[in-house]
Amino acid sequence: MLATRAIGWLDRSARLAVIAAMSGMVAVVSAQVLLRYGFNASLDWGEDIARMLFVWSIFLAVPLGVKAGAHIGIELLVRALPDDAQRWLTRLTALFSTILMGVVCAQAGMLVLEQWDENLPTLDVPVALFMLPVSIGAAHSVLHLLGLIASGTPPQRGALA
Amino acid sequence: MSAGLILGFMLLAVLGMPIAFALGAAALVAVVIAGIDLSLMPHRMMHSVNSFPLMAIPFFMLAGELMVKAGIVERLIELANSVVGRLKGGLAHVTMLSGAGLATVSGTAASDASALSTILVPSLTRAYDRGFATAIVAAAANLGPIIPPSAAMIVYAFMAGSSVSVGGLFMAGVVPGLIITLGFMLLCTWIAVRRGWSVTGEAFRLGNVLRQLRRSFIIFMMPVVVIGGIVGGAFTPTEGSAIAVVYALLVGFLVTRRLRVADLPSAIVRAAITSAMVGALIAFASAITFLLTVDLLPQKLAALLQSITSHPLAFSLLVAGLLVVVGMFLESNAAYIMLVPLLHPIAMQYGLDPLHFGFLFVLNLVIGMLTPPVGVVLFVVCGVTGVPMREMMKSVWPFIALMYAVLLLCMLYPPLVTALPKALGY
Repeated sequence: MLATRAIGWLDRSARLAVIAAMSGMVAVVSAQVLLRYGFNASLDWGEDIARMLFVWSIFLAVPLGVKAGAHIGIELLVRALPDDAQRWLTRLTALFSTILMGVVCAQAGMLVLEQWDENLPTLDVPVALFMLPVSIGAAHSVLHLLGLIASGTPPQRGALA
Repeated sequence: MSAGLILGFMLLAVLGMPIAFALGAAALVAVVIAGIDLSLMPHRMMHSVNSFPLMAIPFFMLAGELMVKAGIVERLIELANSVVGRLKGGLAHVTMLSGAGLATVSGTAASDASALSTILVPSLTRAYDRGFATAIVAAAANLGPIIPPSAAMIVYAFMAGSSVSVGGLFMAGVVPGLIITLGFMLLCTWIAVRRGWSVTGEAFRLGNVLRQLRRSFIIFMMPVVVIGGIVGGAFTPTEGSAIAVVYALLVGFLVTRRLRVADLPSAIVRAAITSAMVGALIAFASAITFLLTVDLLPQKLAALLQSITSHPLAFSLLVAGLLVVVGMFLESNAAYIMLVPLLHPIAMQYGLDPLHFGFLFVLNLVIGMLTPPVGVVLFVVCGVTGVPMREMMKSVWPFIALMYAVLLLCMLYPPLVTALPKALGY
């Protein structure tokens, strides 16, 4: 119960962060055009911050895609199997995905620690902020994948729609 | 290593593992076996996504979502209905023209498929069987990345380097896009006549067409601003895609007045999740690309192809055959990341026109979005409508065959692709 509530809180936080990152991207990139033609000026840090927000929006939305069943796969063979076999195959592939995302989370986390003291030239923020969402998104994905291993039932594809 | 990597990926994919994770798991096993530092994985993943040109993908996805909420797609449909609604198979024609119109303001097939499925499938299923109704929506949505603007072309140009310009590729898609639209409409007429469907749509009245054109004028200014700005060099493709988002917001809030602030969070999250699906594919595919490069696959592939043929057309046909297979099993953006760095330089060695080869490459993978078992457009349409893929596939094959016929035509007669961009100085 506590775990479900914690994951629900994480999902809501990820949604808010993704909305903020995407809105920021649109604002910065369109402001660059407006400044260039309207005021003959530009933001030196505009491209860096836009790329950083893009990286955050993608990797934080990956676990939301896992939850919504948005990551596409070949289902024709799996669907032809009996229900029990489908559940075990879902668990097996979710286990492989968990190992993958676990490794990515740990390795990205180590890179974040290594790069924390190194700052971007245009912005006074650590370069590691580019790698941080990779680690967070992978950890969050692991939680949803563990849920998939426990249930053996993949989310309905229409969940996103 | 390359063969093992590809076989490992295919095995995991066939077991039902999401394609992105299957790519990642195969890459991870290869990294462990080759004794490469595991930090390669997050390194490649982050650096592949950390790209200004690729930001066009979420922007175009978001623009598509906003266009649905803003009622822009409905206006396009009403215009199409006033023009072609009274033809045999009227609703199918309306779908095709709406798809072509939407393609001029949107850049991805996935967002177009979502928009057209949501709005058109309920009426289409009242007139046609569910398989045909969803098949025409899928085919119409596939016009999205062929008619400019196109996120697929932006990704291709980004991966191909300086020899291909985004504006040139955009212009290369215009004539083939129109041919495919016309071909789809002729195909719909033929099917409607053969099945004896009665005429259902709105009667053609010039006054009504002019009224709908006036209502849609502001929408058709969007490609003028976005594509015109990109082709004219006023802004980069990514900036153009952000302008498309701002334009959709302005039209939704000020012109159609259908967009509400409360609609924005769900539109953004949907666009972000679809972009993340593509982003995860790109991230893991880039790890595979690195491993294939370490294994000298580009050089081996170039030597193999050159030993088979020295003729550019034969090379194009070989690549087309390869992409037909790849398009069935791999999402198109992952395929661009993995294959453009391998095949584009070889195509240049064969003396092929970079715009011609690039457009054929994109068109082939766009068709792949309609072919099972991995077809993004099929997944989106089935997800939105709840119609099983098997039911849709029975009706979608004629549209796929027509697109391959146009691909062959473009391959054999390059001016269809290159004449317009060359006339514009590309």
